[in-house]
Amino acid sequence: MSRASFASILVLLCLVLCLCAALSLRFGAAPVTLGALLNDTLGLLESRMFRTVCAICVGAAMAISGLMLQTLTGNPLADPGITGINAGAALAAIALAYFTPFNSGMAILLAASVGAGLAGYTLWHLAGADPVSGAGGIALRLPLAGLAIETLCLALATALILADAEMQARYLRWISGAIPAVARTETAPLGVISVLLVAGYFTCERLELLSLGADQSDSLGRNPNRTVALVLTCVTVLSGASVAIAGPLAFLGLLVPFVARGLAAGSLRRAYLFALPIGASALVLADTIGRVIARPGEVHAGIIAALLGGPALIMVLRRVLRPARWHAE
Amino acid sequence: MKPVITLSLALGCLVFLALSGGRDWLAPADVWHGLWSTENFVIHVLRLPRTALAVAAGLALGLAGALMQGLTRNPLATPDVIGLVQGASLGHIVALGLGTSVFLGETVGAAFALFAVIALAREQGPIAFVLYGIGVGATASAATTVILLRAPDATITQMMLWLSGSLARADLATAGALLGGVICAVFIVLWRARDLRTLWLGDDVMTGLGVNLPVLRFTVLGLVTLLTAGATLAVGPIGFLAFTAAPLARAVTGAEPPALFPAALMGACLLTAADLAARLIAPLVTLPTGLIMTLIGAPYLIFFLWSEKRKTA
Repeated sequence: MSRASFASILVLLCLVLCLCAALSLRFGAAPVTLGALLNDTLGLLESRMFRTVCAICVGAAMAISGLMLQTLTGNPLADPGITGINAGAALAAIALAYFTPFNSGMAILLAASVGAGLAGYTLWHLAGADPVSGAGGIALRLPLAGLAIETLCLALATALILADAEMQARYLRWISGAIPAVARTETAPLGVISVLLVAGYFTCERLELLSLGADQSDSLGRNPNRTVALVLTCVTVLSGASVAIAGPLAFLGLLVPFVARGLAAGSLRRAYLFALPIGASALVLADTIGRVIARPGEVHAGIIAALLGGPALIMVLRRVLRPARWHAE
Repeated sequence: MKPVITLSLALGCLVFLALSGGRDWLAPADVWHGLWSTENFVIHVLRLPRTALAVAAGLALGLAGALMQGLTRNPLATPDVIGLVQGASLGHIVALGLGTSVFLGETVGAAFALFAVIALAREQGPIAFVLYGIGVGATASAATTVILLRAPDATITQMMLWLSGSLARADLATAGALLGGVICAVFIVLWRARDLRTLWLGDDVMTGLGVNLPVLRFTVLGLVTLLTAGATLAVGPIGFLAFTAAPLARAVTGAEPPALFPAALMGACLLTAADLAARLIAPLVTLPTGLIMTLIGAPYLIFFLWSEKRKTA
């Protein structure tokens, strides 16, 4: 891919993101005329702006954490939802709310990151560094280990919540991936996500070296263990922060990196830059659609994402399991 | 024959334990007398329906899991992993919304999920089968959540309890119907026993032995669908039971690979034990049995993957 076409695709994607953000600001659960929205007597524009910023950050974070995880494991199915990392973060956040009085944004962020980290570590031990086996290089272990971790974490979370009716109502809203509209505890995670999204770009080089093989990476002066640790930290904190904001969103990290890698034709850094606007636009769009289709109520973005996500998983499988890879150059 | 007898004895002991255990423990003599006098409230209203339902659903899911594992020759392809249970619960919710028969809805849901997985994974091997199954299951669960959230608040709490696999609202009629279904399934299995024993030998050998493969496949898949639908109707989508029953039965008793009846009995033992545990851990809260089953089954899946990894390493 030439430099010019790369730049034009990137600009196009950013324009799409701007369009989606504008749509998200304009349309919501309450039908308001444009003039009233701009005068902003109800504080609608402010809350919609906050919500859009949240959706952009979370969408980009999920996409990047999926992309890095997929490159690290060499498995196109690795996404923080399927692998149970999001469920681990959700369990930790709920355990925090249940057992301790802390409810500041930083505390939830830390707990969710630790939970995501534990789930990621377990996953790496069960399914990581797996020699390529079976159909089209997809190891079966990863989705299975993810299934086990995810159901275990969600079952424990449900057990914690069942005794408490008030927590049950909150949990149901949060677990279905609702993007918040009022700033309460979300500013700290938002900051962390922005920093990590920039920092993550600079791990791309190490990650590309590692995907050539551990020995190659070592001889070129990049310690493979350190790369794994760095990338896993980045992935888990990104997941933890997005779960702290919007609950466990499934599947966004599966489809977006798949599209981004197809567009980038082999270059991880380009895929990274593509995945940012695609992920953000996808979640903003899902959130806007969810607000509009069921007025006056809303369908949470996470549910729209999950509903599209199951078929997306099947579609990705069909592409990858087919003997001839479509993006093979 | 020996594994079946051992597991039947174990199941008998567990059932007796489940009847005497709970918030208040009963002496063995009280349980025995309570069983025969119909006035005993604790046994006849509280514990017997739950236990009977746990046994029936456990038998159904264990048998369905072992049949599926035998037919596909894949220890991972069980109704709960490949999305049949999730399809059945989607059918349940849809049927409730439409006001039609719930069992019909569940059967159609499970059959539809099974058909989707088979159609998608055609000619792509066992790994693709399981992966597509996970995808179909995820789609069905997401659709269930969407429908559930559009439901009125009163139904949500009730359905949440059902979806997490609760035996709290068990009644003897359901248990009896399910038990009858399981007995019919057992007779069909006995009738085709000779063909079923050849399942592990491979398609070529089976054709050579004169087994009518399409008919056998259709029979087994139909049985699995009906058993899954019935069990899900009775106790909700209970995960990991069908998956763990057969390997555990083989590990405990050393039965030969298809191990259909040992698996069914082991399923019943597991579910009865899980239900007893749910009642003992939180007597005042209705702790769903499916939750306990997940807490047993998911670690088993992790252990399965871990030991496989050590084997290859």
